[in-house]
Amino acid sequence: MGPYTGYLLVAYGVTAAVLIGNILAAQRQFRGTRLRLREQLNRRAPRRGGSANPVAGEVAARLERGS
Amino acid sequence: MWNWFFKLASPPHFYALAGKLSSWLLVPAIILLAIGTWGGLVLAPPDYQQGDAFRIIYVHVPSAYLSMMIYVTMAAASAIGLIWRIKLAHAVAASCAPIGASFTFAALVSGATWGKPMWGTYWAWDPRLTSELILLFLYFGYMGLRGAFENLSQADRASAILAIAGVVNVPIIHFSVIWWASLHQGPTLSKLEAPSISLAMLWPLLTMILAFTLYFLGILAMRVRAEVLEREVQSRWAQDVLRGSSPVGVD
Repeated sequence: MGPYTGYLLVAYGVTAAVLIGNILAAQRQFRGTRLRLREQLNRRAPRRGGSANPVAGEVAARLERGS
Repeated sequence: MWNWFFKLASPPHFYALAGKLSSWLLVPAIILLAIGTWGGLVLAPPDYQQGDAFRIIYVHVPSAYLSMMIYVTMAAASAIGLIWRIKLAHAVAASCAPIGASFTFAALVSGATWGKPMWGTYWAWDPRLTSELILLFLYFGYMGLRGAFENLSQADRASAILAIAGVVNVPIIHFSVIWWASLHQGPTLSKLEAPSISLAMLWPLLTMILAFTLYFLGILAMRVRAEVLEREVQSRWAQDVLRGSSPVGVD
């Protein structure tokens, strides 16, 4: 790479940091959100009325199984 | 077609689909990134004028392309959310912003490291560079505006208006090298005629662009899942996911 090695290292290094950082940040956001919402739910009393769409959980579960 | 669209806009459906999509997209993205990097750094011949410094384009061009493509996606999702009041669209728009900002930053830094050996300076107030910097500020503004509201629907509306207004900057970035005298080179790939780059240099670039696009979609799917869960916490399916009583939430 000759005289340009330093420039290439910085450009590729910053891009690699962005690529890795985005994966870590997205995973952390998902886990953090799930944990926080789960704690909120556990603090609250169980809901009586259910949701506007009670079959949605089953639909999502079926989709997850691919059936 | 419309059925598919409405089904896709259903949060539990999208949550489950996004969970699968993130790994389906990220695995090929990483493989293509490895192939493209190898092709760009090792297999492509050095440029006859720029030498090995030209190899920066393999990370700079995909980053710059993503920075604009993500903004257009964010603005389109914001418009859909604003017009049809689809909450999922706002979740997509909100998830786009940090990814777009990071790739705009990568494009600016990689461009600067190419500019120093080629132009003799890291930065110039050139139309292309300046409009790309404005794009970064637009992303920051969008995220700042969202964070300024306690109420989610108010945040959605205000940030959507900013995203839609700011999209005018994207064609300015793209055409700046044609409209004004610019240090930055003109378009190489987006011309209607054949690209002015050798095939040996072109294929790693196209591979990297495809890899970055798949990567973005994979990360977007991961981020939208968290947004959807946050917004749907009052609904039974989301509570089932959070309590672990629905297989949707098991990762």
